Amino acid sequence: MAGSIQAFEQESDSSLAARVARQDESALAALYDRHSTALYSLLRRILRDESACEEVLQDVFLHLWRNAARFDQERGALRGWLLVMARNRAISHLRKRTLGEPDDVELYAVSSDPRQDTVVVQNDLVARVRGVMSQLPGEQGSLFEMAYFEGMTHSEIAERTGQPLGTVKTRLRTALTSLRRAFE
Amino acid sequence: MMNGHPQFDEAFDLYALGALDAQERGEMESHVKQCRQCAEKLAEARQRIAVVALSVPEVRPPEQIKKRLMDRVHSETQAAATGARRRHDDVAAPAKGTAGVFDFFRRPSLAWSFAACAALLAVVFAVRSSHLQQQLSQQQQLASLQDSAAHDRLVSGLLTGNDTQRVLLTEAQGPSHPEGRVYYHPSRGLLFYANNLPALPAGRAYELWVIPAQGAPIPAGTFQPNARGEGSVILPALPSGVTAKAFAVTLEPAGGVPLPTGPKVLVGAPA
Repeated sequence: MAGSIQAFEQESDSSLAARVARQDESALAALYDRHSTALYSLLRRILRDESACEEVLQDVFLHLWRNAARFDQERGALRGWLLVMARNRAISHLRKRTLGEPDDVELYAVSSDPRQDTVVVQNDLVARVRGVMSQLPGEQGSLFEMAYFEGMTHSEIAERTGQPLGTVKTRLRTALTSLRRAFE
Repeated sequence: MMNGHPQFDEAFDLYALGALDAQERGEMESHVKQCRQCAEKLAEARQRIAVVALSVPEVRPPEQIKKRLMDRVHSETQAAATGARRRHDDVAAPAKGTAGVFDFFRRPSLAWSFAACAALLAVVFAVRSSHLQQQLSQQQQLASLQDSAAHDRLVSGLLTGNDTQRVLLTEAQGPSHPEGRVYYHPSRGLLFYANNLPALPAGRAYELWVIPAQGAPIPAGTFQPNARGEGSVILPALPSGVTAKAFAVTLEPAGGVPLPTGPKVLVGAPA
């Protein structure tokens, strides 16, 4: 048993996803163990409701279970796919509207960089992103959070904050420019 | 915003973020469909936006979520295996009848056995999947599938329960060609399938009724038969705890009526 657990820990996401596509329940459990904390943390931040978090978290992994055969490792990292799916569904739940993107694995292809699948690179990247996010000036940071965690559009943010639409756009774009630097 | 490439590369990030308003989103979507270069940039933007999610403080999900998830997955696996066996049987024994999930009902001496229940279970899943694909949008399918495991458990429990009433419905008058079967439990619900039903006149529907031991008939859903005369009602909304003394199908205006008005097509009572 310990041997098989070790094997799971060393097995890549794409290999596990391939096994999920063959309806291997233990592979799904391994992917859940690996990614559920990141997804659940995001869902808690967006939804702030335990039952809604569970509903969306289960929904994401059930979608993976039913659609793993369509996941193409060449088109992106599994974690990115799961995170985008979780965020979209959480915001749809929160706002009672879709974020705009259909629920399609093709559109969840989030990276063509295979290095994203390694823990070391991901951890480094996450540290850099955290650094960028923590250093955003107050107004930029709060506007970005409205968009990211509440799913608000430019116009909705402008309406809520009373800022001119052009100002909101400029501040969000500046925040995103900073974010892009973390990936360079 | 643009007719060609976006003016700023941050537009891809804004799209992935969901911050663009409807018109800007539409323009971006139209453009990336025909621009491979921008589609790549959008994929990279999605990655950046996804990684931001990892910057929130970590909270481990409660253990029971995983257990409930795996229970649902296991339930789906079992259901799929049952359906696969049923499909294999259809292929392996073509002489038993023509293709179609309702072949089950064409067997005249069908017993209410466990094997029959398992076969019907496969029919239920096949019908549900077919109905979903034919009648619902993708988004509606996803919403429906969220409850699919619970639905499957209800159907399975109803089909195999020792206390489920199993009632054969036959034609009210004339030679007995149309035939229906009801699985009913006062608290678990109702499943109904029929075959050999005559085609409906325009603007009409078949309506299923639960005839309670006391009181007026209770509508249990309308249905339209397919081209082979097969129809079904699966887990309709019904009041709980009603003891049924009979079941019936009548011909009614499309959309149904609160009380039966048309001729009886099928009737049956528990033994």
